[in-house]
Amino acid sequence: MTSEFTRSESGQNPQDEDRISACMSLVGRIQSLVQQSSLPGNRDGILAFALDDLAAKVVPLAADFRRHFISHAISSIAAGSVGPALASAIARVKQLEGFISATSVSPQEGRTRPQADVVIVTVISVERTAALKAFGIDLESAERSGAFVDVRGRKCFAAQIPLGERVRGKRNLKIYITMVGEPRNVPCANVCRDLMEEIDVDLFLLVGIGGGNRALQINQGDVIGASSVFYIEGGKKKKVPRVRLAPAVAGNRFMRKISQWFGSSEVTDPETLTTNLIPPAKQFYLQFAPKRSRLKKRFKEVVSLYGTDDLLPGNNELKDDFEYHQGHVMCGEKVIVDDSMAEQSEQINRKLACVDMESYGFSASCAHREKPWLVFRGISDFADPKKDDAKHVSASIAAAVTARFFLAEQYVEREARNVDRL
Amino acid sequence: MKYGVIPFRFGRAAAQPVELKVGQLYETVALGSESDISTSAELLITVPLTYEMMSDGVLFHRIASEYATSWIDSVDVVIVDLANPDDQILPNHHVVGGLAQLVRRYSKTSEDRPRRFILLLPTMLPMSDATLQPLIEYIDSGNVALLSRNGDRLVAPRFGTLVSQDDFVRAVRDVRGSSLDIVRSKLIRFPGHFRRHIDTPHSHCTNYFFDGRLCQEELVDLIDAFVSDEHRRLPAFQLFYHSTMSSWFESVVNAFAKRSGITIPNLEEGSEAISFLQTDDVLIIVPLIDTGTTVERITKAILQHRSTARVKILSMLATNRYRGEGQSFSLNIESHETVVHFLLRVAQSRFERDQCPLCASGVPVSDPRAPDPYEKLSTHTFWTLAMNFGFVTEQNVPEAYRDSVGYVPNFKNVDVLDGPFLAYKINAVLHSGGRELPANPIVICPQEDGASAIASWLEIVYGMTVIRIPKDGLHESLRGQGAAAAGHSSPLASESQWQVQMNSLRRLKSQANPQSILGVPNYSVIIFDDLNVTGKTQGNFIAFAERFGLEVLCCLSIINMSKAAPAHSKPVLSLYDIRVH
Repeated sequence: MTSEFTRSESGQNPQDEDRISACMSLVGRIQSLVQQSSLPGNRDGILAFALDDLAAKVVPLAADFRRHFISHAISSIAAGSVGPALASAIARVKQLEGFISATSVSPQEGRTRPQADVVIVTVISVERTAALKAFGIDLESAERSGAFVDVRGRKCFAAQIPLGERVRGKRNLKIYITMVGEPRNVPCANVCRDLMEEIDVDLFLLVGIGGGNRALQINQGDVIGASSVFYIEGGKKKKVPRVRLAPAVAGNRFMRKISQWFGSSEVTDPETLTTNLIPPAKQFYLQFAPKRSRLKKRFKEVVSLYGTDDLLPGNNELKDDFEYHQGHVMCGEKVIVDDSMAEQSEQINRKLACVDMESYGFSASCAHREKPWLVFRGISDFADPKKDDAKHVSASIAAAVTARFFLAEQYVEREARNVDRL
Repeated sequence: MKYGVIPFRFGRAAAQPVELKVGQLYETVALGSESDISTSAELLITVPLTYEMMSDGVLFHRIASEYATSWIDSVDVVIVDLANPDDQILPNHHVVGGLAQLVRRYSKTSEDRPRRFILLLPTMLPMSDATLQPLIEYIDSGNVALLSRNGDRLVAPRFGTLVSQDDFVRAVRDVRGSSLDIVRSKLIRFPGHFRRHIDTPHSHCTNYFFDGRLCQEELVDLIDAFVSDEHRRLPAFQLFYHSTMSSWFESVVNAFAKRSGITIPNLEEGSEAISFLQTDDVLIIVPLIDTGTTVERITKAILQHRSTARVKILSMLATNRYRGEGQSFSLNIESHETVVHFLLRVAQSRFERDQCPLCASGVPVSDPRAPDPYEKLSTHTFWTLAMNFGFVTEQNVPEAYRDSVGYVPNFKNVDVLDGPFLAYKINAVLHSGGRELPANPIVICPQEDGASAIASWLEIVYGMTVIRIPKDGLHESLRGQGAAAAGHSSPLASESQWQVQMNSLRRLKSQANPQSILGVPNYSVIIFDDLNVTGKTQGNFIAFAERFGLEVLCCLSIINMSKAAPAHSKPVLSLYDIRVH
């Protein structure tokens, strides 16, 4: 007699199904049931059973997530006619939703935050499109079928990297992909804070585009993995006389009047703030060295998923052959088009590879909660007067593809990690 | 002249009436061995022997004697079934020693003629086997003949007529089914979301993964038969296989290679196996053929290495993509006709990239190397099964203590496509958490369509003993009424199957020898039902089992809808939870 156990040949221990994935799957099923012209049984009865199933699953979730799944399910059903059994099931589920709305979320509620291995944060839609496609998600289909969770009004699309694609680790990776929607550090930091409060995340990735430092032999389309982030907007602004007196004559009243006559100018004493990588992200990052040929191959596959609507208006230059570099990222609050990267790198750090406007807010927010973080930036321009949007799509895809390889090749989920061995 | 049968069942805990087709097998043996056989001696109830009992020769002899004592003097031929319809368990020296004592005691009929014993074995034991030694003198004297499933026999001329090999093998096949029938009934179809040919233009998604881990022996037999047939046609050919993710298939190929004493290289990508190619005729064994992409790639690689190669494919499975009659079709690859033979056709849906409804719904991608990573049924898997079964208003509602839950999956419709997977999953959940099951698992379930249909797959796939209790039998027993409650020591002709089974358990439990080598047999039972809503039905079945002196190991249901803790103390397991009641 054969005795079979649930331990798989790959040595995986049996796991519980992720609740969010379960709810997504169920909402998708409910939508599919509503759309089918014939069902193997009474339509209302089957839908009522499905709603009871959903009701049981959403109870332990945070209020936002519960509301999202319930409202999605009910809106799918409510369009058609509804018999008594189904009406009762809808009423039961609505009661659950109404109970949630009426009460405030309190720490004593004992709700369970859903877990995720990685959250990928993008800033603008071209970056999000690239990230979704790199992880095999079609935005329109996912929105239609409700395959996302709503975190304080922000859609987080569920993705995964199957175990079969991973080099390390013991199970599928659970990933969410979201978009800030507006540039600059503070909005990005706010979104990260919201995500950390609603989802139990192990690692945050910021994936998108930035300006490159051509002095470091970096080409447009290349990808930078940030080894640290330098925030350059700090400093002290003061006035200093245009004519400075030598100490020997500084006490002379006449000479001081002449100096005052020439007036003063504003100068800024720079103050750079730095955020550095923390374990285990740092160890994963240091070991990451993707093969150029594989990046190119994957880039082409992602490009093949693009339709006309996914591209930006005008010229979209796609460069599939790109390199990955490790380097520092400079972050500020202004769009830089004055070709000052080389000069900045001489002053701040000779390995400044890239400039952007969100990585400091992102990394500082993560560091504040001791959350590991990483930044991947595809180089779309050189922060000079020639800057345009022609390479936004290409750079976004390159960054997303690189991020995916990183997760597949280097990342190890928290329960499988032995910090001493990394 | 009459014949009698002692139908042993090794590894079984409870007795039950012999099935009709098994009875016909015995009749075939009897008729083939004595021309004027008229009727069998006794109503046939099986004689279960737990694994522990098999290690006690004295106990074995006592059980056999007790079973046969009322009729053996009136028969001339005794058929002793040691071949166990479901499993390949060879009798050990304790069993053979006990049999030898039985033969010695009853070797002569009342007319002083030799009484003949025909022992049915799963496979033939060689004469030199030490196990056989107690029986050698009786074989030589013509009292005993040995007959194995494939028709091999060990018999002295003095024995006289014995059923022909062809008749016996045909009768065995009628009972067991062919190897292909067994594969069909044990092939697991894992529901899931599987991506094939990732990173290629042929990338697509499928909704099932087929796994032959439970029928490896039969697959080895089928490959053996095919290869033997090929050897008759071709003077020389080389064997290869290709597998990247079907570990069950690699086990099958390795087992076949071991049986044949050969090495079969794997033509997986990047391997140097193709350099071993030395003949023009090549047979490649693969687990499944769907798009033909893999077969095309392998064939091209072979033709590149050796342009005169003639490639033939043997696939365990072929999808319904390949229509037409018969078990083969041709593929045109580089102007070469490549013939593909397959054992079994399977149905599978295929979705091109960007059109996969599973991708759109966010159903996580499954790993074929671990197609079942969850302890219970995932949401997607449960609903796939439920939609396959269809839905129906709940039947057999225990109105005494609850209302109907409305529409539920119609588990009665579980068939050969989903039955093996459900049985596999139930078995996995039973073993979860380090739980140790008895070597002879006993499942008690209501005699209701859904539960009974699912339980039958536990019988087919794992050979578990299933006892189906009708509602009125349960209630009578709980009230201390009915024939079953009286606990007859031997089965009565008027008893129904469940009564025979439950009473045999009670009887056998009292017979079990605590001094035996392997200890007291474990007669603990598993209470099984398709739905658990309040836990009250489980409680009733626990009380029922305990009336028969049986310990309940756990209660398992397919769907658990109960939020409250059970009133009983037994572990409550389930495959899927919808805890709303």
